[in-house]
Amino acid sequence: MTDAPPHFRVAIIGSGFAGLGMAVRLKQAGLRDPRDFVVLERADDVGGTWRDNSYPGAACDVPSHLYSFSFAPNPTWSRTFSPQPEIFAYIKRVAGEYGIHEHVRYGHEVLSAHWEPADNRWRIETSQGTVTAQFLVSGAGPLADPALPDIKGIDTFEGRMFHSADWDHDHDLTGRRVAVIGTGASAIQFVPRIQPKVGRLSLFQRTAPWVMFRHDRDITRAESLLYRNFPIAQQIARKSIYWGRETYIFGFAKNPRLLSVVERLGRANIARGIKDPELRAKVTPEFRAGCKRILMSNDYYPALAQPNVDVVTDGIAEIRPNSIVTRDSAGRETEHEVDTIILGTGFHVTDPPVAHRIFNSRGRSLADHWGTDVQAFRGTTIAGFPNAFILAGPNTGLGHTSQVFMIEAQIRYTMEALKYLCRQGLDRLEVRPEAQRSYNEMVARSMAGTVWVTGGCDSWYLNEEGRNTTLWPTFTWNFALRTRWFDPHNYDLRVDRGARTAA
Amino acid sequence: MAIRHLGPARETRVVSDDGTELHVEVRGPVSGPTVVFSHCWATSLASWGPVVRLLDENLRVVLYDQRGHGRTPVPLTPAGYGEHKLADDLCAVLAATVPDGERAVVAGHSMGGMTVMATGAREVFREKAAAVLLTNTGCTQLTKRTTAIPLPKALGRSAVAALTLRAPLPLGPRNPATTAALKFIAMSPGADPRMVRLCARMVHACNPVARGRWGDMMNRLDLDATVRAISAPTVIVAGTEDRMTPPWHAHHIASLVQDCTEVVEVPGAGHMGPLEFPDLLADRIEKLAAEHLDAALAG
Repeated sequence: MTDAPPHFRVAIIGSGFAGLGMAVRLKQAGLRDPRDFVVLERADDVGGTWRDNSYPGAACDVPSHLYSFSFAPNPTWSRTFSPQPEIFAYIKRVAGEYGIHEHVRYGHEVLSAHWEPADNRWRIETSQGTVTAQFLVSGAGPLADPALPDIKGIDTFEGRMFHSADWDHDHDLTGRRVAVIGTGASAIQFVPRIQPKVGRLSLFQRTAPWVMFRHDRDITRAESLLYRNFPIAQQIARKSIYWGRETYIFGFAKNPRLLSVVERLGRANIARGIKDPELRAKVTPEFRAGCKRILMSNDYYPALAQPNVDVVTDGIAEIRPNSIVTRDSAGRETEHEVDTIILGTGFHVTDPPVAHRIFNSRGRSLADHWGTDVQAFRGTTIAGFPNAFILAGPNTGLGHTSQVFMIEAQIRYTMEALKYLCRQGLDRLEVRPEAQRSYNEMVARSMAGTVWVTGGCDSWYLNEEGRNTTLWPTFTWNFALRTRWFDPHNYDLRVDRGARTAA
Repeated sequence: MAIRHLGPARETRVVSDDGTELHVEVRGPVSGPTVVFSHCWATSLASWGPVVRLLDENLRVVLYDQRGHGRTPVPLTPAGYGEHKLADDLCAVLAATVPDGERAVVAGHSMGGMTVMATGAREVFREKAAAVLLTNTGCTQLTKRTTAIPLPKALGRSAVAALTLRAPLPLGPRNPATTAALKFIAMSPGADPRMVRLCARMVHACNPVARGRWGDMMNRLDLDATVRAISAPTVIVAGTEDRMTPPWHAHHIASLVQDCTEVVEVPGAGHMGPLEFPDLLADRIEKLAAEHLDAALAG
């Protein structure tokens, strides 16, 4: 074969927490040569979601001691809930120390990945050429691709419009008439930051979220000193936060009625920030807390109470070159003049674009294969797609604790699988369909009765049929136990001598 | 002799190969013959202070904190440590502070010496290092040769030394007992009490995790291959009472480097050369600068 594309044992898509964590574990396992594995990154730096979401006020909802790699505790976090620049810098430092950059091909956006059974490999077309790999690990997370709303006339808008994940830092908002569409996790973080600057802010809200008080504070010098000198103290802090957060599951999944306590706290937070009864009514949610992601902010409600902010609850009918038109329940239209639109409209979560780019041996994409029924075995492997692992895959999302914990559990499972194949001299693995089916039946049983399906809301956790394909329905230690060891009996495992000699 | 290199330094951050930001201080004239100093384990660039004060005013002095020491951040993971990282850092400092086409005298004490030796085969080092001074350092068999643990060899002196080196134990506040222990391990019985206190202050300020991880690296250190690559003229200094790196190491290194011009054994001196015999080190550095950098020294 001439001009054969470069071949790797493992190809990883993305270099956020998932892709990077996987790369580090491969490196630790001894794959040190840049020819052993490759990380395909579409941007020009590592960091994933934490690189892209640089909007003002971006921060994590989970305390940093927990929202970080287990193998890289950082004693110098400045806040209990770290801001985005610090998390981004943290990711870059970890990548640097492990020398991951030698493995990353920047500016390589994966366009398609085809399974080639004859050669027992994945053929991956990127925006800068082709590579092949025996194993494919997707670290393209659920918050990778911004979702743009389908509103009539959105293309005709003549002002500046951008998504919060693609913030235009050069666009000065001072004195502008700004529309913010969406009141999700991103919007409640950037609205208080831009409110003092803008002339007029119209916040278009479809459903009011539950917003809790955020116990955010500086990490004191004494704490930092303690963590630096006694790493065990930071481990204790991390584990305490972990187990504290695990108790939320009793409310979310086991007995949603307990969440009325959360709702009381949420209403108290509204009462503290807003005096006007009309505005209070507008921002008070009508569904069970926890059904949509619970948000945290201390300055969101006070910002809404400012005179230069309108909260618009009528539906958006259309966008015109210089305005947004809403229609109320009686059919009356109102025109809101704006010169800037910021979309806080979230991400493609239940329909991840990466699924449109991964194809099985018959040329059928993962997205078509799934249809609306997005599912995998242990959130990681998929029947019909051999030698592929999906990190942050179906039913591995969380509403209550650190996603990094789940990602690390999946990485561990993937590593165990790869090590098993190596030890046994096997070349191909594919999960048995019946194992995947029974696993997903278990997930569905576990999901029944949780607040995410019974709470009376439509959230980004749910697919079109109202099935929750994104969240893990119970305790995360349960998932960690299920992914702790590789389970060969659930897989078709094969030696592929033909492919070996051909290659 | 007047104190010439005191006062505020020009502080910069130099980004190493893996993104770690190194704290670097440049003293003396803006341009001119340069000396780059690499400091020892569990202290900071301040450990070279007594030598720097004595140096000729025409010499440009570059000091930096090794990662995990002083004002350079502590690595997040074990992967941030290792002799190759020390070499990366020194290369970054040389590349950033020694102007193109110019060369420098590179001086290393203890782990700083190991840094220099680990850098021996690097292109930047071959280009920029005009001469090398190594003091109180070793490149292999560190725990095997140490006499810092007051135990007979047969009772596992080396094993205890290895454990002590990598223990990430916080030292707590300074007290006479820890200072006495430190003096026993690192300095000669006749050392100046002020220097002993200075040494204790620096060692107690060092992050215990970083200290332990670097200690672990030293347990396994074997740099013979890269030491052989050092072709610049090299002066090696040892203290006869050095318990951590006994003079055996100096002679071993001398047998490996390509151009050893001198091995000096300082009678009665311990491990902390820059604190115990700064005048001798300053003198040798000035000589190297005069010979290999054509430095016109004020004298």
